[in-house]
Amino acid sequence: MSGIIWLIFAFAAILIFLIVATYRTLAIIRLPVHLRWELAPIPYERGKQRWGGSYLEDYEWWKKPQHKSLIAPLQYMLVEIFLLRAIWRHNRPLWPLSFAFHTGIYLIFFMLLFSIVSAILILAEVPLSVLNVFLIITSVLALVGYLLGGLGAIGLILKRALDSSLRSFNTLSKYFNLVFLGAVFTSGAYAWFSSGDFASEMTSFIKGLLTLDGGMSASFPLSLHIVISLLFLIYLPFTDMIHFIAKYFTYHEIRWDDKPQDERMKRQLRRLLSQPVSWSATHIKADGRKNWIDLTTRKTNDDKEA
Amino acid sequence: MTKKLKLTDISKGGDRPLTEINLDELVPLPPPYDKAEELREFRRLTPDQEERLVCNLDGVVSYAALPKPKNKEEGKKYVEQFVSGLKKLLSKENNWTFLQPLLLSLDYCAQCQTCCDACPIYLASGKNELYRPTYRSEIFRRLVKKYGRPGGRLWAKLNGEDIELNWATITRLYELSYRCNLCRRCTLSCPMGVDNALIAREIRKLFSQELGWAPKELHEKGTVLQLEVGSPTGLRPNVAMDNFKFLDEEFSEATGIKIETPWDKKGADVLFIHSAGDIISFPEGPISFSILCNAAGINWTLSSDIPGYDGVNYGVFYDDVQLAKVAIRHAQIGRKLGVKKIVMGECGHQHKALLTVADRVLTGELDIPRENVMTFLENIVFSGKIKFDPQKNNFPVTLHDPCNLVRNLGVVEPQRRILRYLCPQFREMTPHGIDNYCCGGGGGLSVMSDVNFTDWKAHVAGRLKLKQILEAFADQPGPEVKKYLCAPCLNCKLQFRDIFDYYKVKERSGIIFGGLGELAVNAMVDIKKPFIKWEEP
Amino acid sequence: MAQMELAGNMYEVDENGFMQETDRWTEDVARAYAAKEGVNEVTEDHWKAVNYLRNYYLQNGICPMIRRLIKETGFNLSRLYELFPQGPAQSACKWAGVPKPTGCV
Repeated sequence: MSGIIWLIFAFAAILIFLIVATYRTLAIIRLPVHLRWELAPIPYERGKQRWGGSYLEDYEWWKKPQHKSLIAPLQYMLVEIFLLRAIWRHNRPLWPLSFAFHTGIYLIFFMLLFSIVSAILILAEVPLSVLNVFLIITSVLALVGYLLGGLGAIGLILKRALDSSLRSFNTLSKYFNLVFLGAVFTSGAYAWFSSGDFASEMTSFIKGLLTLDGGMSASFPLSLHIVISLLFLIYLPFTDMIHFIAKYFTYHEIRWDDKPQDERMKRQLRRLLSQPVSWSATHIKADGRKNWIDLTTRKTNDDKEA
Repeated sequence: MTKKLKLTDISKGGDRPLTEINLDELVPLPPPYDKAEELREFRRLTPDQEERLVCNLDGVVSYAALPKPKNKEEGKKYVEQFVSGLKKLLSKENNWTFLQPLLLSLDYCAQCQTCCDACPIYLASGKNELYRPTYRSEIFRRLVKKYGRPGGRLWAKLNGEDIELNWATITRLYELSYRCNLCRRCTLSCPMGVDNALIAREIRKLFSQELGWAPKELHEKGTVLQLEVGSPTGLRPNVAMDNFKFLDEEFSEATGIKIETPWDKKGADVLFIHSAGDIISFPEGPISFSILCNAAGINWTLSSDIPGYDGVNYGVFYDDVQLAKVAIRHAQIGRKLGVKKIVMGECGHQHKALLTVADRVLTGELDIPRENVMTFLENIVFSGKIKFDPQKNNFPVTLHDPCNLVRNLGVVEPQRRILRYLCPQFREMTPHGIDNYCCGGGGGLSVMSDVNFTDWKAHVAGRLKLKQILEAFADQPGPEVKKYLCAPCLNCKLQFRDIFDYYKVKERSGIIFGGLGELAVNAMVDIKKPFIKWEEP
Repeated sequence: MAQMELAGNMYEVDENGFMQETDRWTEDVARAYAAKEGVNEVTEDHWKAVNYLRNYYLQNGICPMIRRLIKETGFNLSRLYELFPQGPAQSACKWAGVPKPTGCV
């Protein structure tokens, strides 16, 4: 493939990914503030991590300043992301496959980072000894990543197809996603084993992108791998595989959202409560014009018993 | 068990149940409750009931008034209402309250089934497909995608996720939404943070707010009755005060301490709101708080305004509009009395409703400080104002963690600090704290008893809990050792009353249940006679 | 709504057998309910409890708490269970023709 086409294809794929992923992220962010629906353990609370308590345990909590730990939620998320804590605890049989699969993804991601750094080092003309370290790391990350990811993907496809508790929930897109991502890993492994020096090849390709080199090229195995990967990158943000973005929100904006009302939220709530309600049940008495405040409040009266 | 249930079965064979409950398929209980043939039989519907009622889910009916359509057109009309409700559930104006949590849960489930092994109902049923948290959620999810999103129908067919929407689908989905305790154990175990309990509640909400279908115990004789006369129990203000005065006198005589419960004291520091059901069915609970608050010199009051003497808010189980109405009334009453804070009585969902879920509906001057009962009680117990002798509570005690107080609010330790101090033989259940199992009555189920629903609650929903309780006391299982199950939540106590009645747990294992307030009062040095009664009056 | 035959008439009952039309109650209805539970003779003691329960309900809109019933009738809980096979909450309320208690009771 000619260098120009590579450049257009690669940057278009990255751009599409960024635009669609950003659009979907904004769609989540723009959703209105919701009622509290938190779930312990809330990792913020200092001194309560052992039992997962919240600030509500404190006597007259509204009189005390809130002490939020910034490190603890980060620690919690890192363990969850890299070690898949929830699956380890609650679905142990699934863990080896899911761990292999996700670790494969993370390793490939880091492999790309190291490859980008290597490309920059080449352009900066650093000594070969330094560059070689990065290239070796790139190579190892790639190998382990492709193998783990590939085995994980194949394993998960088999598990989905053979496990009776999973099978009845499968849809075409579920298999397709796994097969597609599996193809990314296996074509990567194929590229690695076909190449004399995978890290150098990959780095040289990335260098071509960074320098907008119209003459850049790649061997057939690597080309195949990169084409599949770029197509996957375009496909990815349209699916629910961007749960890695959504997860931030399910944890931070819902499970751990136990904030009392602040000024900004009060403004938002006043606006939301003024929206018209159109539910049809008779006990609501909505007519499409009355809003939440109209329908849920009435003046306090002093009548006692009827 | 019948053949493996598929998602698409929800729409097929409209009049026949999809599954049925057989006691020997359920998770076995420890002896002496291990022989299925010795247990109380599961009550089936009579032929007359089968003809009159809609019973197409699992042989259990929770809502006898579910309308049977007289003809196809009427059935279609209900289905159309369902679709219109579904669209409203996805709109900002009509569902801003839970839109973000709902959409995230609908869009990002990976169907990995990790949540299922966390669900006590699914496990207790012997892993009946119908009770998988994901069974209900996935069906609803596919319906939302099909009818709520552009191109939904085409996508459903192409992707092999088509669910037929007909009369059977919606009636089964309705009943199935009331086979969930809203305990959120599934949420805790989900790597993605997807919330199946939320989806069950949103399904209930759709039916209630659009079609007006809701269990009569929660709605017509629930929130509606409460807003009208003061309490879903039908307890009116003057009857409430009169009953409490009666209890004040009875217990003053029994304890030797003068007990006087204050009402409508303007400018008090604390407005205490009990669950009115406690006053009728478990009066030792509310009275124990009268004793403790008075002994600690707290400036407190009850309220006789409607519904200020009944803190329950069933809206948290099924309907946002009702939830808001009741919560706002409670806050208005606190505001009117000019108290510094409102303290909840021993009831889990009451806390969840007023302290967290409805918190953002209480804007402006309705945002009055609210405190949970455990923290309030801990402050009293450790204040030094009352003398306790823990040896008076020297019997095995275990703690049942109400889901709404512990997992949903994060109030875990205060009650344990009290128990460790006042109960020398306190031991934990396994699992406990935020990992606890629901009593089986959560999500409003404990007050629902239409047709044969109580059988389902006692045999299926509460099964793992009973197993846990027995295991917690496994070192002294016999009826000769009197044991106390501390269950600081009225709905949980009602569920335990049903379970204990079904299995004769008091007679066979010597276990009684009650709240935390009673344990505290039982340990008071100033009260000579034991406050906790092991035998009935 | 279900229908049940009691003392020769049809009455509307809920699915647990509780009367829905409280004002149609008669003493014969109470006897019919009692007979269904195997109590063939409704004695003075039975009437003491049933009448107290019914009057309290008609006056206050809710059944009396157990302690009140015990105090007013002079029967302890075991005696009440002797008189009413399924206990005061289930049997006695039913025989007295009051609707099943709702809410957290």
